[in-house]
Amino acid sequence: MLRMKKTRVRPWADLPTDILSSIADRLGIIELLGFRGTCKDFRRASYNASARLQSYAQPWLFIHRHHRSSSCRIYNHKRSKAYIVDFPELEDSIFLASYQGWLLVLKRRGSIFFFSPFSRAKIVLPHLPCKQFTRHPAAFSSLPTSPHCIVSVMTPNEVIVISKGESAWTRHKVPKSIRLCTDKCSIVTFAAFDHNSRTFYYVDDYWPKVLTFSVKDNKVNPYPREDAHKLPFCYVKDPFSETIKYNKIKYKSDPLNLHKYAQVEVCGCTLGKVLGNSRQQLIYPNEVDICYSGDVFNQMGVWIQPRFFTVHPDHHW
Amino acid sequence: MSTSSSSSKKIVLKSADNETFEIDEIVALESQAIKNMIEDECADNVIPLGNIDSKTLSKIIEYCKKHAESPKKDDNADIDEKAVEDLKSFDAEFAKVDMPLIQDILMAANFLNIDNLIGLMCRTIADRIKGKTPEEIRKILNINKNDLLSPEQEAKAREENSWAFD
Repeated sequence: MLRMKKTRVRPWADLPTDILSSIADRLGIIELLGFRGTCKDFRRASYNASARLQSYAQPWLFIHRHHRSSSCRIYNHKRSKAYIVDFPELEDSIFLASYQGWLLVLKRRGSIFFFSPFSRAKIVLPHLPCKQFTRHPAAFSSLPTSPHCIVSVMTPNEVIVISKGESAWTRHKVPKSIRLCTDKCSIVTFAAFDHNSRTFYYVDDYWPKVLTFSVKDNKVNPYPREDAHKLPFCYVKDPFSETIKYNKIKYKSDPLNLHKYAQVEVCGCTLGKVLGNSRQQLIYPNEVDICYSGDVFNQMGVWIQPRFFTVHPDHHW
Repeated sequence: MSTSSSSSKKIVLKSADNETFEIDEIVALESQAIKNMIEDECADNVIPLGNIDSKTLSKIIEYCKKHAESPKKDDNADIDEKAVEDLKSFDAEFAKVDMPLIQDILMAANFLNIDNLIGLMCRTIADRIKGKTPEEIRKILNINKNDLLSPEQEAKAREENSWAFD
């Protein structure tokens, strides 16, 4: 005979952990934060919850007050809601890449790490062998906790790569004739990883030029221009300036509180598949928005999927 | 589409308060637990459900009937849009119950292993705590004082969530 424990008037926290975890799995980021702050059992049951459903929604925007500051504004465009959060971890740093709620962050002097801002989880990578403190195009293939994660960063003359568990970056020279970035042009439209071909793509629309780095044969190659329509990515056009424009028209205000004289550099974000069965991934590209051309200072921003990841303190790259 | 024709096999479920419900086997098969019992041939004509009361059980049967009648998503690629919409609005209507009943349904669905129903109930709870502070969630979900976070956990939780609720 089927039998289960008596159920009447039970506090919710007494429910079996797997049920509580099923609830936690279905929460958006704000609800998850609330749920985790409620009681011991809820907090324990939501250890693996990561606000997964948020990967299908429009990404949020993170804006530093300026790159030296640790105060950030987080903006949920869909609900037109801005939050102010202090992240000492992000002081004097720039964003290189964003994927599934993880940011790849570069600090001055080459220290580099993954950061999940909503949980403040951090995974430190070996020092980046590149002296320039600029927004290099970069991408990573999977969650940084995954054993399959590969990171690639493109500098003006190299592609630098590291796989999970490795203690140093591997440098691959890019022949002069096919280089994307020069000192003058440091904004590459986007960098992203294609899982089918296990290849990093660096796409520069302004030239236009595409380079690939294949993980299988460790080679940097130019991508044929005539095949541009076959790229496994498609991207939203100017999502940042469109957001600003939209707010100006709709609210006659700027919930991002951007500085009048700032040049805003926004790091893009790789989202999921365009459609369930599509082979194309949707990209929010890198973007520079110049409100004022003169004696400007930089405000750094990044698109991010508001996910939540708990990382065990012993977890290392 | 299934009908309750007299030829189809019947299963009888008996609630904790001894009420019996005769249903088509196909409806009962929505429950993975009952399905396993039937496949292992360890189900008698009457399946007693220890502690699911009749109120909860009739809700669960209502849900399983509707879902058993609806075309399954993986049956064919051409999903009937109207049927999907119909099922969606049924689910939305179904979920309009009070919190104690949601809990009973959730416990029973977990026990009977009805995946879709577990999902629906969890989503319903997620909706009900939308935008609520931890303090408000504690009230909605009836949290005991002795289950509250330790001072260290509380401090960590505040660090995590203060920006979202202040």
